[in-house]
Amino acid sequence: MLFFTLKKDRLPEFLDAVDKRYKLIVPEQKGEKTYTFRQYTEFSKVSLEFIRTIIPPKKLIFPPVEKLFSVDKECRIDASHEDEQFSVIFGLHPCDLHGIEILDKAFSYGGRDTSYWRRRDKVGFIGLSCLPDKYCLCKSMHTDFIESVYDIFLYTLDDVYMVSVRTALGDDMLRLSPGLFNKPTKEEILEYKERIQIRDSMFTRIMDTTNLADLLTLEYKNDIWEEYSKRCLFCGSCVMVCPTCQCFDVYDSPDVIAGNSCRIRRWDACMRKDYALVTGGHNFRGTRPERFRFRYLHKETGFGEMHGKASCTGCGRCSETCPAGIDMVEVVRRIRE
Amino acid sequence: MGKPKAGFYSLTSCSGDILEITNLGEDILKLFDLVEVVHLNVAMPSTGKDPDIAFVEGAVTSMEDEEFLKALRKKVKQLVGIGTCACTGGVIARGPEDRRNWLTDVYPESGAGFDITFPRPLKDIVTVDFSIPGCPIEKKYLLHCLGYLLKGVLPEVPAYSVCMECKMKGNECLLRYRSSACLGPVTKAGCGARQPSLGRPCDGCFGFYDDANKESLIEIFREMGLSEDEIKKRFDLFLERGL
Repeated sequence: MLFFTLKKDRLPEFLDAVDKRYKLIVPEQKGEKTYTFRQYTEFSKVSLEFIRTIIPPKKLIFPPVEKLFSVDKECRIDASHEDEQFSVIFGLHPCDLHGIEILDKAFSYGGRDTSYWRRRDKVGFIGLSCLPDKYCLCKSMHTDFIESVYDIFLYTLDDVYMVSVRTALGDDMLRLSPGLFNKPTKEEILEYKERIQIRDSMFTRIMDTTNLADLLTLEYKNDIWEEYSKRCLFCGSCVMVCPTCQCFDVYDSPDVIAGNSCRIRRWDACMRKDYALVTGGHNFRGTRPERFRFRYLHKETGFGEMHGKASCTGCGRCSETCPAGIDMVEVVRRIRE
Repeated sequence: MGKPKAGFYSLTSCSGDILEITNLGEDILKLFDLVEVVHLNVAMPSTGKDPDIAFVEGAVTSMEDEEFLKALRKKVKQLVGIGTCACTGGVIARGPEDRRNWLTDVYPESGAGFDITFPRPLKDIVTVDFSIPGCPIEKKYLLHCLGYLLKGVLPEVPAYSVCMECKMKGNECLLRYRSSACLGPVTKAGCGARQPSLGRPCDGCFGFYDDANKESLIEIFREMGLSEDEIKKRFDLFLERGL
């Protein structure tokens, strides 16, 4: 890892340089309080103060709906894809970078998922530090810092960004405009250390994750699953906005206009009634409480057993988005009682 | 084997669904390529031929409608309801059951003699092989279903809420961020979250999805400050009659 500083007013020059070389994706404001990742057009549209985007950056690597291949009337298979330009995503917070790390594991488990890795291998990340809001749970999930995945990470200080360069790609990006980067001074290092402490003290919501996986498993029959499943709309919003939910459905769709048939993969959600329905009509999670509980168990327990890490990154999207206002912190607190 | 013959028919409706077909643009030529269109009212004179597959929009509101539909059912291999009126009765099936006084109010002299029944969905009269909801139908959804139906298979359609489609499109939640009484959480997907994508709440024209938690959404609307009457009206527009 190499450290540099970048004057804040020179960030536009840096992003312009990156945009010239790669396809640059940046966070932009969408609604009054919502943000989204879009292709870079001009610096004035880039949001630097956003907390979270509606949909995590997973959509850029694992799109909601994608065509895997098509078959024409002569049974010829066309699995070709447009050769996508190498893209760089700017503005990922530590939680979202942890999300990518978890997706990387999930899409490598039992073999590399070609469709995922085709895109993933052609994307770089510029991380950006953030300050927590009332939904942020990263400190509790130990995802408030990231030491992997990113190529460059920018820590916001008063006048400069403390720039951490982790990979050769990050170094390449720096070399696009080398005159912008300086060695950090003693004062800047001190400021960086102070900033870490200030940020650390700003977390208002803490979720006790001690032995959480064990507790959720032990409380398998707790009544609160039933109670919350009455409130839950089973609309699937929490799954769609989760940076680590990676379930998908695969189906064939005849395209009458193109005159072929396409195999499509589309995001799926374990909250759905027929998600666990199998041939013969057996449903592994036929009731609503079972489906509600499953999501919690999977986020905090299931993935951890395989990979030694919960698959919740504490980004707060599910709690912020849920139309029913169901909040993971509250559910976990109730389980602990 | 020739091309399958398809007919598009209207019962009592605003013709919005047939209009969506005429609005297919260039794709309508593909449709004519794919099937022999024997009847497409508002767009062409009827050929008088019997179809293999009939697409029917509108609700049954008279004995004439009923007899026409029964006769059509006997002629065709597949009968597909298109549009919410055909599927549930639609917006015209709101309100009181007995409407005779409406007729005499509007047409004092001749109204009493009109042939009119309470609007009913097609399934109340005949066997319907497949229903394509929407007010109006979605062109993409229709073409998607057509691909399956012409192969004699039931279409694979989304069995989840509009919320999932809405999030896949990256929209902000209207319920959460704009306190708008959106029916997306209980409504069947398939429209590509058309209204929420334009900032308007979902009205539920595709009907309830299979696992809709209506009770919870009503409670959420109450917490948002909607009156019981307002809530009833939201659900009564499309959802209550069921698909």
